[in-house]
Amino acid sequence: MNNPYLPIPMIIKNITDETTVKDIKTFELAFLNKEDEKNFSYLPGQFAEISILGSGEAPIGIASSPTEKEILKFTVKWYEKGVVTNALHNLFVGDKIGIRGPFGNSFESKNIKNKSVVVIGGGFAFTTLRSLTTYMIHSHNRNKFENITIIYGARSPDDLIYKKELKEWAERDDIKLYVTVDKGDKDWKGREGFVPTVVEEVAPSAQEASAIICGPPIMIKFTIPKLVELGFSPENILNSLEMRMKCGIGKCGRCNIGNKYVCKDGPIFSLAELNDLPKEY
Amino acid sequence: MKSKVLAKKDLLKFINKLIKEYDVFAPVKKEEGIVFSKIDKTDDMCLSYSNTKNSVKEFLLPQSEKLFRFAKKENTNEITDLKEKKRRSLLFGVRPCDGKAIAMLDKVFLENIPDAYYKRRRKNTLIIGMACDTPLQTCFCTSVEGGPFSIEGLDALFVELKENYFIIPVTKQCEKLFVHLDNASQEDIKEAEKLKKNAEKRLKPVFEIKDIKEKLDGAFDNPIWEEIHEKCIKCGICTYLCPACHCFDIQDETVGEEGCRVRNWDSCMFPKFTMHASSHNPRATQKERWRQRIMHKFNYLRENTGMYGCVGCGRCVEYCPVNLDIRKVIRDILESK
Amino acid sequence: MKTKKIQDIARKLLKEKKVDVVIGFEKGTLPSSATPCFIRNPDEVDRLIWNSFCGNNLANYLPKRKDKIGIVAKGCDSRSIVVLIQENQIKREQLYIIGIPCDGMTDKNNVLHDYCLICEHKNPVIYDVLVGEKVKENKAQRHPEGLRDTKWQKIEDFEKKSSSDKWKYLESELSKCIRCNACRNACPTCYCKECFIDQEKPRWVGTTNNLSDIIFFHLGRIFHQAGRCTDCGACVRACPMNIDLRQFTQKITKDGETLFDYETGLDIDVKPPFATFKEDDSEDFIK
Repeated sequence: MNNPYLPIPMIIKNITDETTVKDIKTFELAFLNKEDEKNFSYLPGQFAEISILGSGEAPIGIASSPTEKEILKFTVKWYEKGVVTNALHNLFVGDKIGIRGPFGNSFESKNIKNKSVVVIGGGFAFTTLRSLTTYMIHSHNRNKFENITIIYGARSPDDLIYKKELKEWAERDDIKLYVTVDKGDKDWKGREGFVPTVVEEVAPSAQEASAIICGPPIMIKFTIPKLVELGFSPENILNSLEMRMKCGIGKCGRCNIGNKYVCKDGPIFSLAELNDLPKEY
Repeated sequence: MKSKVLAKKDLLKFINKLIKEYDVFAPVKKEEGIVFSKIDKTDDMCLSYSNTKNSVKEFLLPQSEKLFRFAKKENTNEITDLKEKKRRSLLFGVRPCDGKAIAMLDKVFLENIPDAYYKRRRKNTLIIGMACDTPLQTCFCTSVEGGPFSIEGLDALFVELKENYFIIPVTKQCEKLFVHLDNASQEDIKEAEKLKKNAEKRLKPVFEIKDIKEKLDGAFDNPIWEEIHEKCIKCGICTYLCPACHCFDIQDETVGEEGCRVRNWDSCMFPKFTMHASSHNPRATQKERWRQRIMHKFNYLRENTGMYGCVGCGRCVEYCPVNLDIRKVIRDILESK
Repeated sequence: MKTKKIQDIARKLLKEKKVDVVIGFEKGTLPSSATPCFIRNPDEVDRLIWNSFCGNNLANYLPKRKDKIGIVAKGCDSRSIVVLIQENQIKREQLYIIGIPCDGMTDKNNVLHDYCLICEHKNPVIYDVLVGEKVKENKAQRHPEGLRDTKWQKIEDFEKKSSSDKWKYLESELSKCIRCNACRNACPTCYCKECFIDQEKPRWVGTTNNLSDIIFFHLGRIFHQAGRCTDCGACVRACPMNIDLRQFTQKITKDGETLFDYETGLDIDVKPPFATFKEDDSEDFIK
């Protein structure tokens, strides 16, 4: 019988510290069985339950893109109270872990193709946005999207994750990238300022465009009105939600917002959908 | 399938035959009250009961269930999926309210992505109900679209007549249990019908169920939630005794290098139920938790499965240590502005 | 009579804004029942009642509250209030205690609870106003060695059992437990912000319903009640599985009273045995 609770065995191929304080790490995982790799078909926006036998499971958004073959990437922040994230941060390259998934819906399920896309991210919440960006700019997919604008902000230059990718993206001329920090350091030559201000300033066109926004609640709170002002319709403003999730398949009963389960009906919701749901997240 | 009759004096013989083939679970009188548990002989069984203290959900969704075992030898993890049980199970004497709860659990656990463990147990279990002729003061099945003679979720229903048990076979799976029994006579059918009418008459609805969903749709910000939860002591009695509550947690239990991944019942009444690793809690106080409990049972599940998450068994009403009565909560919400 | 007096007191307290809320009892939804209620509006004081079903220990609602509270208190509630004040969970100044001499509470069949039968503090030990006349205390006869036989009879019988029989009893009682946490949550002195059974880092207790996890929880809880349990019966009253929890908590209470001559919850100014050290403290149990 197909058992959705059995983890897929994986091996840690690489671990990258994203910040100098080392509280955010990106784990590159490879499948131990070819068969599993073939069956694991996912799209940007989906998540997986990372399973560490003896510690348990935690839902983490997939940071790699399906265009990146053979590996899956997960970027995980350390929390003092997070049992699994703590255990994960103590692992080494070569250690074996498990994943279950992919779970949830994808950005693509919300009608973003053949349109312009504005990606807006804040701090550590750029993980599935990295997946999406990498996916969209891949040579197989680039022509499926019109203009691509990336706006990414963090508190300080060190808090920006995926620094290598940011450099690469900055050199491309088929996307527009705006990186900003609340406050720069002596080496910082880029923008300073908050994400909502940048959104207003660079004013991406709302014509036939989707805005995808992930970040701390305060950033989302102030960015959404700017997008609405710019003319983005609630259907075209997409948000990825986080919840305590255990089963990933809509059974265990804790991640619902109204009658929607974040694990299976989400995690991506449009503003129009969120407006119809209770504010309990 | 025709209705059957079994002479009352032959019941124990009938059950004894079942015990040979099945693991039979039935109401048993114990220190803690009448509880549904495994019987090895018919003497253990107690059929003078209104309802059992525990619901039968624990035989389909055990309070703690091993999902798999693992061993962490030198950084390798060996997972052994737990093996299937050979003997089938049979639940005898399930009240129709608990049967209806199983019908609801089936929707949650068998639809969309089926839950492998529930499915395995469910397929392996026959559920024989016993019509309810002695409702308690806490019973309210007829208020939530159920009834003391409801067959929903059951494979067969027994009705106690004067001399016989009148048997309504519901699903094909149980047919073979009854093939050797006599068909029910017209008198039996009439007697059972009469009992059913009388039992239903005794259970006047305590609120108007048809108004609830719509009322709750607009009640998320109703100030009434501020009052409802105040005396709640955040224990899990209501959810653990409830035949329909099914929320669970997944945890790893290890001894040395070996362990199990288990799922345990969890409760929306517990503060940690929705707590994120970051310490953010979307349901921060008992107000949000009670709202969730009511909304889940009477609004969200209805929307998602077509059924309510409450079957009116009354256990939460009877055992709540502070008499936080869900019937009153529903009535208060219906009366609120 | 008492009902009317409680209502009058509550009305006055709320009208004069001496308190923000009155915690008392109102009529329950089941026959022979009463249920805790919170009254904030002086026009609603008529909901308050008093009868022999007012069994809940209302002190359970006090820890960490910030408002000013009028609280209806029986003897046992008042002793729990004393413990909570001693342990800085509530301030005396926050409370207006409506003390009620109690003749014992009954179950739904009108039978006196067994913990009420041996109660020695029917009259509130601390109060701001007393509703009704004090009742005669039922001081159990003192045993020559200083033990009180009726009160400790059950425990003394239990103490005579062999270790393996004691363990067997513990296992047979606790095997009924469904880990609903009602005993802990109904207990006024179980107020830890995070109970040891809920802690995940590190996890002290297994999460399953196997007997060793269950026993670990109960033993932890019971030992944590040493010198703090007032034998109010809230835990057994709440337990849906009729577990004889008092068999274990009473042993702890007896040890506190006999070894340290300390009776819980009588005087705010007396230090509980675990909060202090005396040179003549009993050491007999250290072997």
